[in-house]
Amino acid sequence: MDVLWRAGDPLPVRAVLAELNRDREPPLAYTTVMTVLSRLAERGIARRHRAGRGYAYEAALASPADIAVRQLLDEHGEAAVASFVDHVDGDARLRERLRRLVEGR
Amino acid sequence: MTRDRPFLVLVVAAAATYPALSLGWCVAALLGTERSAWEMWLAGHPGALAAPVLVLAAAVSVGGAGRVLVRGWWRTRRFRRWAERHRTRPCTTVSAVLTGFPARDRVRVVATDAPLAVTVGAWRPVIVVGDALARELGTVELRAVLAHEHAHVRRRDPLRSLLALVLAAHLWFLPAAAELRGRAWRAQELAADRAAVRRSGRAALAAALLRVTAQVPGAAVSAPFATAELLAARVAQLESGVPPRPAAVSRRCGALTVAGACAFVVAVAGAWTLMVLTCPCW
Repeated sequence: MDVLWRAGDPLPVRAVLAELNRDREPPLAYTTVMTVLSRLAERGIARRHRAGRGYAYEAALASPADIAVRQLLDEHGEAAVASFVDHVDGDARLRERLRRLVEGR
Repeated sequence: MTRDRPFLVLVVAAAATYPALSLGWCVAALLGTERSAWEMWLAGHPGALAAPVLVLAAAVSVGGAGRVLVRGWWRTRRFRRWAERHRTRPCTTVSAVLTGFPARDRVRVVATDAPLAVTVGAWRPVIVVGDALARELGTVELRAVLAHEHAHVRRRDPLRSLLALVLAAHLWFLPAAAELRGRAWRAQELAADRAAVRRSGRAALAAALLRVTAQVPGAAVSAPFATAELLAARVAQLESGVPPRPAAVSRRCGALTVAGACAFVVAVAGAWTLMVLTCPCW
């Protein structure tokens, strides 16, 4: 995640691997990094974009604290927690209906 | 009260399995101690075969429920500790809202950019609000969010959620139990929304929901279906004032539940026959 945060822009797996392996002995395998990145994307911590034949990844959350909150909320279905919002992107039609309610129509 | 029906059904169904699951243990003990019972086992009597099935079902139920309970407790504790560590002094506008809030000693404002407004804790629930969200919401909207969370505190919803989770794990052989858990969760969110509307008005809650759904980052993250469905139900309730009916249970889930229930009843009947035939108590 540090590599993705430093980069700012989406990075292909190969670039993340090169960055990680710069001072690393023995070096990490390509497939290891690829697996870790795809897991991060599945958990919503990284974002995946199609780039050429593969994928490029960027950080979806801004800091370790955000990741902690995100994980806690992901787990909340299994804890004694009732949440006002889940990770839901309000779809445009629902948001339009909410807007009408706010305006009292 | 009728709106808490999914939760009550879960409680009653789980309670109903207890005598049957204990019967499994009794029959297992009989097989171990009574010669006649053992002979029936050797002869392949269906009642004798039902006993190990019941014992196994009971072990999975108790083990699964225990695991879920411990994990839920642990995760709750972790969340609360995190909230205490990141607690921050609310800004003046947020403080002003909190001054008029009846349960202000239960509110923890934490330093985070994440859109966080939750009630945590089974025994002594506290309301955790992210400071970024609190500042982003207007006074009226923040009051609506706090009213929603306060309803969770008064209803002891975190405890209910945890119990529903444990009971659904206990009833693992009935797929409809997981569906009931989902409905119980939906019912408690809708009830908290109704309380918030009574306290702060429909427009305030709608505005809070609008702000919050806009603020959630990560368009690439697909929301789980259940949460998208919940938001739709919450909007529908705000419009009509009454909670919408949940979607019907899928045919597959219904069929599997009926099959699970039948298998359970057959196992109980078999174990009971063996008990009646061989127990020295009567």
